[in-house]
Amino acid sequence: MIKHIIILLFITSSYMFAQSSGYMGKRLLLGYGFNTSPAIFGATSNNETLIGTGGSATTGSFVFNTIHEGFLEYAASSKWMVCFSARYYKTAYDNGKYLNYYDNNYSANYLKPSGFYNIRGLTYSLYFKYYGSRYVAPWGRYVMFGPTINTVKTSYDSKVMNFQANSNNYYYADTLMSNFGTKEQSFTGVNLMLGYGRSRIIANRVVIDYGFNLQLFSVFAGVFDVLLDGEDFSSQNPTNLNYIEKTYRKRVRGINRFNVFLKVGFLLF
Amino acid sequence: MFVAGQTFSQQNLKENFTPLKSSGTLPDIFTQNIRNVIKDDISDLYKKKETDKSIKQTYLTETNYEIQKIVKSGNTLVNDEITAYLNKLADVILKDNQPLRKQLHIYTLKSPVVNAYSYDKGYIFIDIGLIAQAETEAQLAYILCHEITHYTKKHHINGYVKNKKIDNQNYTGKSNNDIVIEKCQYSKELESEADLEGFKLFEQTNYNFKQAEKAFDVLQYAHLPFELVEFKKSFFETEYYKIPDSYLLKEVSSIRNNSNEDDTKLTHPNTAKRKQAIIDLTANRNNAGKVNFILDKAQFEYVRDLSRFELCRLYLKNRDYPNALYAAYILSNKYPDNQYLAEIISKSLYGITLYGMGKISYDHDSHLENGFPEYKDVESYPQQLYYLMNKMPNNEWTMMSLNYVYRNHKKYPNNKVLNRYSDSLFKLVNQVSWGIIDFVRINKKEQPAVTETKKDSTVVNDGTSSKTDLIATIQKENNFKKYDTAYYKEMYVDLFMTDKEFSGKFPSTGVVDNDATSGFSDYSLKKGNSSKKKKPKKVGAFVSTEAKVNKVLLLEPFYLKIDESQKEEFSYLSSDEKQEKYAITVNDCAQRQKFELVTLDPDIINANDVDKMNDYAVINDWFAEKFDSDHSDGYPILNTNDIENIISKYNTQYVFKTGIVNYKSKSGRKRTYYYAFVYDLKLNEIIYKKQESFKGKDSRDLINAKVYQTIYEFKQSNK
Repeated sequence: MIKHIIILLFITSSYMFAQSSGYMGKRLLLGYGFNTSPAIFGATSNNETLIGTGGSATTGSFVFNTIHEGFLEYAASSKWMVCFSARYYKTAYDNGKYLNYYDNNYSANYLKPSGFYNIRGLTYSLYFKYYGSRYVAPWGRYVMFGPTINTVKTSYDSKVMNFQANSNNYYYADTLMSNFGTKEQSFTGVNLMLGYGRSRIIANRVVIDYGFNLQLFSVFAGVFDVLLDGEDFSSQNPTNLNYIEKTYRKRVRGINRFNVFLKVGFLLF
Repeated sequence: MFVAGQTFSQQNLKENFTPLKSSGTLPDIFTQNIRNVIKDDISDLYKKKETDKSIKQTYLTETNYEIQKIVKSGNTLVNDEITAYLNKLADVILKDNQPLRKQLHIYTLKSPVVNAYSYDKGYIFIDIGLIAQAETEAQLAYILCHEITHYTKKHHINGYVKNKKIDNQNYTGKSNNDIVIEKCQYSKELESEADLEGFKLFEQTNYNFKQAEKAFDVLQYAHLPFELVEFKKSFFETEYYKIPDSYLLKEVSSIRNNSNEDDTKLTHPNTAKRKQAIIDLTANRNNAGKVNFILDKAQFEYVRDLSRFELCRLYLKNRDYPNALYAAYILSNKYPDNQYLAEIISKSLYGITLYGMGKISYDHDSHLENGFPEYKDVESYPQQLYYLMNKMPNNEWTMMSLNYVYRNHKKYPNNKVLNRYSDSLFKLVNQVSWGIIDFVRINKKEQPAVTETKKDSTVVNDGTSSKTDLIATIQKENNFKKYDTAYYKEMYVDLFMTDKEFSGKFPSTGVVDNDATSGFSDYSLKKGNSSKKKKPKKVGAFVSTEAKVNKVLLLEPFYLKIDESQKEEFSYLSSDEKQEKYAITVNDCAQRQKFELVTLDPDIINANDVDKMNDYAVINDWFAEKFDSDHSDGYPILNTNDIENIISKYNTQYVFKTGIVNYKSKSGRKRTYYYAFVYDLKLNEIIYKKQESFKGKDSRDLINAKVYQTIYEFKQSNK
């Protein structure tokens, strides 16, 4: 996928090369970006993120989601930039959703697993920046948009994440169960990124870019996240085996929904 | 500075005139760093025991910039014949005061205004308009004495301090009117002192005292032409063309005497008072043996004539065609075979034609904002010209102009300018719906038939016979004596019959050509109909899709910082510094893109760059005339023929003007304005136009990005 995106980026760039002035002749920008947002909804992690410490809803501490980003941007014309970025984040889902479990010997109804599971996300975006009428890419105010692919990997520690299952007969005692499927699970989703920003250039080489971005589907889904925050509709409760699959999205949406960013880029050539 | 002993080869005014130019080495004021000068001046100020140092500090900053602006405007002449003469005059006046003489820097200013200016640092500027009006060397000498006194008495700085103090006073109970009167009162005191003290200096010379009095008469009648010469219609008449008497006044108005006007709100006392003060002074003094000329009468007259010739061009620059025409007409009496005068008159006639057709109007900033004056508002002989312009229909004026210009073109066949204006007028004839047929004798009594004759005649001309043949046939067919004709019918008879060039160029049909633009043959941009062809895409801020800019002449990049929250609203020093850097940025951006750009900036010149200053002056004159009109695109610039030399010297017809204005309001709100224009000197059109405004300060990235992009678009226009 990444390979295809990069090829597309360079084909587009080459085609539009002749129309671009860039900043003082420099068109290609490579850099690092830091995205953050207050973890208002669904940020109930008590694990550490890559930078800073995640809090927990149970403790009531105020935390920030943090995402790290590497990007490559190309001024394809005086108004357009074709960009590619990879955003990485590490967080956890503090188990808040109830599950149902039943087999011949044990059952659990309306139970929250203990602890949390880890989430590592990598989001790829091919996006476009459009600069305002008076500005010249990569300098000035712009809007950006483009599709994103969110890849997520989860992992859990059975010592941390488990639940108490009740015995269905007197032969067995109640037991701790920690089977939530395979230890590491991967998921992929798509989204649409929108954003607005402004870039300034220092010493003809360093680009400081700041603004905000949001993932459109996450914004809409966020409404349901709020409505269903209690998550006590038993009919929708997952089983232990699909618990992670049913819950990871909420946390991923939470971290990608809306972020302000500060990027530092270097104009290469 | 004036170089003593410098000699000039005199122009042969009987044949031609070359507009005045600077020469030699440029004085320090052209090359010195203004910021250092101001710094030194302020440092000197604080070393002295002076009062009002804060106001004087501001004065020193503002005045140094003002002087630099005048000097580098392109309007200041250096080491030319007139400036050399004025300096000789100063030598005569101050022959016994060399220390003072050395402090003075006297320059001629290419301005039609009748005035002179003196600054605190010994800079004295004399307008061409004033020299053109002077009657004697002694009058000029007195005016110079007056200006020298302004300098020695420090009037400029004292006036500035006084005005600032008046502004800073508490004005409870005073109106703006009172403030103006108070300021004018002080100014008048200074002027009176300069008159009287100037006279003391003047009387140390051997000049005739009476000429000091007469100098005020010159000022009094400065609104009239430099000589009162009767305007005779015969000037435009030929054997076959007589202008009807009804187009002229039987009697022109008398000259109004307003020398005793109310001067309450004037900076100078009225001329009657000033003159009387001098009369009182000279009443009991012996004027015997005093002379009007110490240097040389012939030299004075030559210098004055140079000024008068130059004045004609300056009138054209201001699009003041009637005054240009009249001034050239006066000079033509003395120099009937001068080609330059024929050019000035031709251009003026052409300009008046365009004005009459509504193709030229004046900008709000123009002194002719309301158009040419009504003949009733004009005094004495020039009134005839204004009356003629008023009475003569535009199509007749066009024909009269063509008649004059074409005949002068034939008189000076090698003169390209006359040839061009003659061709241009032929094109304008297309727009007044006249053709050859209108110059054939017709019978007034048979008007309806005339129309038919016209049609028939046009039809008869099947292309096999020449236009002159056609005329000959028609004339032959009609009984010459029977026909009562309009006065202009025979205007071109001789030309039609004998001049193939004329009959070839003259439109035959009389059909209005709506596509004809300026009629300026070399300047026609719109060619042919290429509707079938795919139109090229417009690049960036280019107005035209046809312009291909491969090289530009960058004209004095501009930078201004305005800070309303500060006492001194204009940040001169930082603006100057930024302007210097901005010029470097523009050049850097061009260099990075390998785009050819030549900078013509009076702020970046050395002492030997007098040619650059002259070139800059020509282009500045071009712009001054262009911006005097509201819609002048496509119409020729009349005041200078040198623009073609500039185009060929720099190998480009494109002039790039760009600038930044950074503004900070009282509340601290900042805005930055960026502009970039490219003008086509050949087509007299703006071809690239970018004006943008940004919130915030004038950051480096903003400037770099905009300038780079602008030059990038220039490059793109070639693809």
